[in-house]
Amino acid sequence: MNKVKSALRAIGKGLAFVAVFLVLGGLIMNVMVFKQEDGTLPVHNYYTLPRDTVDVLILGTSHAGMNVSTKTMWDEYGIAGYRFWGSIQPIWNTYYYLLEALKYQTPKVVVMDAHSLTFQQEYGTYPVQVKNTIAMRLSREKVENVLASVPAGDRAFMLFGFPTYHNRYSELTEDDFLYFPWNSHQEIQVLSSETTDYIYAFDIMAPDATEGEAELGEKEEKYFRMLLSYCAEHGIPLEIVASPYELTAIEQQKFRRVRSIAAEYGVSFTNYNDCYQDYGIDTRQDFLDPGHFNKTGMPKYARALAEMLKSKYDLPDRRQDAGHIWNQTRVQAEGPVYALTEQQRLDGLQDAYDTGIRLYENPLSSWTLCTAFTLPDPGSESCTALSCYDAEAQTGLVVSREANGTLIIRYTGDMTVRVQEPPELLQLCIIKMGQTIKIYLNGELLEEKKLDMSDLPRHSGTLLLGCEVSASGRKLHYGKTTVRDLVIYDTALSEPDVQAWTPRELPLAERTEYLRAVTEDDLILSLQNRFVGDGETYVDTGKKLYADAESSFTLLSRLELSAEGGDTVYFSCFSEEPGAYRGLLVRKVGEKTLNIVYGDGSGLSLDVADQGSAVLAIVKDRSAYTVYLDGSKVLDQDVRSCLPYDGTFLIGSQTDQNGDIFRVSQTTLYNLDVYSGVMTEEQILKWMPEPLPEAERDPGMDVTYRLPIGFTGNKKDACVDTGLQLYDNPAKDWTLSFVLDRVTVRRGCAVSCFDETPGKYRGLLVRQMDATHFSVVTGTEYTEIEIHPADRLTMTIVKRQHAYSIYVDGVLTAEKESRIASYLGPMMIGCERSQIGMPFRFSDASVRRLRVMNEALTDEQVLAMYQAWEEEWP
Amino acid sequence: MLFNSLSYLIFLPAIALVYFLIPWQKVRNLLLLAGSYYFYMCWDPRFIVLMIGCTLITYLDALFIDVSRREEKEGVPPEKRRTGRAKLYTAVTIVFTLAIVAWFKYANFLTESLVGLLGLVGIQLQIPRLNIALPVGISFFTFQSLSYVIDVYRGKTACERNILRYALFVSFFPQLVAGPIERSSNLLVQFREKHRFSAEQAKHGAMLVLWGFFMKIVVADRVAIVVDQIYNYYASYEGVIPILGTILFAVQIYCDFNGYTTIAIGSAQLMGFHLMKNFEQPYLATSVADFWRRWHISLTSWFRDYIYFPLGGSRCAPWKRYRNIMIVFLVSGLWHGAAWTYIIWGGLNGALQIVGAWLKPFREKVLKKLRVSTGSLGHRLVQILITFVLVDITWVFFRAKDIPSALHIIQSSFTVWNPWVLVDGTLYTLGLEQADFWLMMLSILILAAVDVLHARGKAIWQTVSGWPLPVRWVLIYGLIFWILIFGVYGPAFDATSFIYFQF
Repeated sequence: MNKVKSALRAIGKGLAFVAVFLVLGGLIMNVMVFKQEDGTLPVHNYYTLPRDTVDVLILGTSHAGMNVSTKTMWDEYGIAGYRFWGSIQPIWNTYYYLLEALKYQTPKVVVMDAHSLTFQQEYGTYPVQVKNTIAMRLSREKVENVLASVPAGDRAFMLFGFPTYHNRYSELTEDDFLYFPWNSHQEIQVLSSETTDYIYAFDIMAPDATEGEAELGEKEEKYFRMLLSYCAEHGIPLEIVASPYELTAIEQQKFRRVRSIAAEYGVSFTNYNDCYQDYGIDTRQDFLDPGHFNKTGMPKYARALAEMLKSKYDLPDRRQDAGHIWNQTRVQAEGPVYALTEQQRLDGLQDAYDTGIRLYENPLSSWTLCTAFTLPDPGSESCTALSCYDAEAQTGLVVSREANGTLIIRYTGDMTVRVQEPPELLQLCIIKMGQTIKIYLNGELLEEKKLDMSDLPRHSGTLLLGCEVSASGRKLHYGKTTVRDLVIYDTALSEPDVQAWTPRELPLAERTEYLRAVTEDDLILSLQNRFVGDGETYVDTGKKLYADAESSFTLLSRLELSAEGGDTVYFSCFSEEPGAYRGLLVRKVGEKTLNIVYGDGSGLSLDVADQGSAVLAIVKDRSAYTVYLDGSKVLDQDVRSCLPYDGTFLIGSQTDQNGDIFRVSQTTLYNLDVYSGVMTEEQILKWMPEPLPEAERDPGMDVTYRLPIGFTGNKKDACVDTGLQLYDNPAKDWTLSFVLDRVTVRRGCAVSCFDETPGKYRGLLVRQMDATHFSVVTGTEYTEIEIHPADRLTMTIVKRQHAYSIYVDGVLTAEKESRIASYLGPMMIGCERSQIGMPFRFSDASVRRLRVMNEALTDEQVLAMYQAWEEEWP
Repeated sequence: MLFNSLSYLIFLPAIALVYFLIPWQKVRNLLLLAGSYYFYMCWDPRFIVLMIGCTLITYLDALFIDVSRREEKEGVPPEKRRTGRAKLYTAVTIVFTLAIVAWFKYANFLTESLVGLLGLVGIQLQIPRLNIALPVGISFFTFQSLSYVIDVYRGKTACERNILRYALFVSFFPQLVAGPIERSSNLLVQFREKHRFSAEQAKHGAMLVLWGFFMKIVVADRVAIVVDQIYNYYASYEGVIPILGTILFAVQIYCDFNGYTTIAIGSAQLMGFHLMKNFEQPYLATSVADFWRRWHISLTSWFRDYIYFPLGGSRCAPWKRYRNIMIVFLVSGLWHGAAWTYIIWGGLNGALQIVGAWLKPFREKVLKKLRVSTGSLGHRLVQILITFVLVDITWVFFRAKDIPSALHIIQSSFTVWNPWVLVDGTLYTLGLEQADFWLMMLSILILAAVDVLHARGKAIWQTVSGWPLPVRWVLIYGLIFWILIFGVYGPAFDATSFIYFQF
């Protein structure tokens, strides 16, 4: 009895162990499994749909999956379509997908794209096999699918799936943890490509470009016939289609064969390559690649299919069915595509808020906008609360208040709704469903209209709060209003939904940061000596002002304008990349014109013929620029955001499209300060420093290099390439002297001229190890130097042939001798150079002053220089 | 059929299940034999003929030896004996077995070496390379059957008359292709016993299989990626990187081979069979001689019993002892592979032991003078470190593709000083990305911890089995999922063969 008991207990334990293992394994598989929207997700999500919710089952390759917008079919026709597809899916996968899909849904019609019938192959590639097999639930169909799709050897792996994706552990993202059994993914399918506006233009060959039929691949025809027979035997309505694409002659002939075979089973085949123009599809506008529609093409094709299906099958408008899963999940699951996070109080003078939402990029798209705002203050002219308007084409949306107090809602062209004596607080909802527009004010329907296509031209302006934009791009009609809430849905909500909408209680946006006074702590760059260009010298400050294109800075400078001669560059942080000019460039063109190029390449030219010097201030506030010349505002413009630019801020030159220095100019810059953040006008106008003196020429010393302005590294990418070779002749004498500050907190490489080629390590390398230790490599000799804790330090290295003397604060601290071969790399400040010549190991060293002299100074000279520098120090 | 394949994961439990369902021992052995032959034929069905041939000849030889021994004992005059002399049969077996190994394994090496040697004295010969496929595990099953015949000749083991049992002894699938090289006194007798299913035994066997998988597919195969990168492109690396590559190779070969052996021992244990231990924390050895007492124990003891002792062993003049050690290790090198790098590797191991023995009095004197306590932990750690370094240097020849590349790796390891490559990101350019690299290091750390515990007499599985069930399960699930997720397997990777299969 005991034996039986213990045996039963052992069996029970074993079963429990296996059960826990299966549960844990299942959860881990949910995390690890591929989440490809062109393969596994359409299948995974299909299983989560309630039964009998899909009326149109769409099968096939990406020509089905990426070309048919089920969202459009739902939004505009109420058709419940589901794309059960896989990338480059062979027909055998389609066949087994059909069998699998029918276990869970009873669609009224099955639509299959015939693209895969133009293939001729035994098996798809490995990724295709994975995408079209592993997501199916374990079943007889899955086994048969794997047998048909995967060569022997990998079949077991593909059947279990886990071996194909277990190694994804290092690429997991947050999204991978959203597919547990308790997470539902029952929304209408929307692919990331459905928002792609990239355009690929091509021509589709004429329907009569070829003649006759071409045989299908043997395996393709076999499974095609199996699919047709299955549908015929089970009475499943089937529509075979081919979406338009850049097809070849043989594919056109194969489609004729598809038509013949389909006809044998009484199934119709619609080849949209032959008639795409009838549906407004434009091969010059509507494709993102040779096979797939972009966001303008997808709805057109979806409409073409929907019209055809509606005409042939009795497809109910499921939008009327409140219980349908997509009516329930649509809004909740997708949520608004945009929601204001803070109330925006706009001053009606120069404040505007750009939501970044482009409502009319796809004129046929559906959306819903709900907002609550205070009536803009009446002014002498109309003032705008919100706008997404193309002034040139005179189309789009503007909500404004006229001087007489009337609220005007202009929703396209000259179609407007006027509200006399509107209330102070307005709640506006606009529903756009394709060509139909509905406007609700405070819950009441004001207007409903179906627009013509001519009233809906595309434009890419963004939705602005508090102003509108003129045809030239200038902001105008600022309205003093508070936008309390704004949400935008990428779908047409129902009337009850918008009537039930209530604004949220949002905090008021604090605009103090925007207006925060810039202080000395914000100084990121300051010229220490007057820059006098000689046609050869320029300064690479190492500062990347446009690394973040949305950053803000204030640049203050005093320029010499009287110099004669041709074009001259004062300073630049500018990309000459063709087609993507961006950044900031200030130069003089000819003798009379000061030219400023800013932002996305916009330009400003000022006549400065009679001026000797001028104070130029440039304020960049994200994408807005304000320019002052001698205290007068000469520009105030918001330009398009530009791409980031990784180049550094140069004084006295600029870089060409390859990043090489050119236009090294003969110009003088008396002062230059750059602050991060936006200075107030008051601060800017106060900035009137005395012209800096010319750099001290170190009397009695033959200075070959002088750091023009202080350098502070950022440990990320800032450094200075001095261009100076210390070891081109390994026997030459030189003296390097520099001042470091903030020594107690800085670390890493201060100065280097060091070859990192393995086995050939040599040169000069000065690194700060901690607050009290430096390591100095001279030649190949390593020296560790201990210093007294201090905030500032002057280090001098004197090289006399192959002998080195290292001085700290004027005192000889170490002596070394090392003979090395020549090294042609330049001296770097704030970083080292890798063996392939790229800057790396960036430090945060703060080098305040640095000189290189072409001679070996004596102990006395070193001490004298140190003392002179110390006296100068503020 | 590789151990680290899906087929084996189905094959092993299936055969174990059927094994225990069959009530008759004979039928059970038949099942194991059929399974073993199927297992072997999964590589190349042709070579089953070779194995059956080898089995038959050694079986008959042992039989004849046994009969002849008995007739000798019974004083039957030579003219009336049914068989010849036992010595003759033993010689036939040795010659036959070694001839098989020589033909399949060394034919090309011997001819190429001969051509090279003659080339040195000015005789140019052109001998075309023979296209001979190397049967998997040939060095293992031939040595196992050879030991059986010699043991019968020496009277150390009884002659097996049941050919089924003997064939199973030669071909028992868990240890067929990479050992341990079993002795008849241990394994053959187990086929005569009836094995009852024991849940404890099966659990322990399964845990060993799991641990073997961890060593092989998590550690060895991941380490192999880095080692291959460094050794295949050795000219691109110098200083610390080749040193790292060589240290990692030591880890790789240990985990690869011990991984196999552990799976083999675990698989056998599932069915109630006990195979001999093949490794005993070799990298905790305190001398090179000690290392060889802990590494591939079944092969080392084979060489000890069948070569070293017959040559005189250590009970002879020192120079003879040194000669014997050298012979054993040169043969061991050759056994591992038909290439001069293996012979040098074997020779170096022999030489290190000879130098070690020779310097022993001197070392002891120095330690005495320095008053170093020889039993102290510090002294042991230094010994372990020195032994590891020495063994690691010999591994360079084992892994490098030829002698010049081995010398290059050693030279570049000791002439360039660039420890910063350990921290400047270079480590993540050796075939493994950052996450994978640290996963490898963590796995090695786990392995090292388990080995150290074992060395201190704490058998990890026995310890774990005493813990509460939830903790035990968490550990086991952790290990299983660690292997399943972090193992190097699946279509994205080619299943890597075990290194010792080629020997």
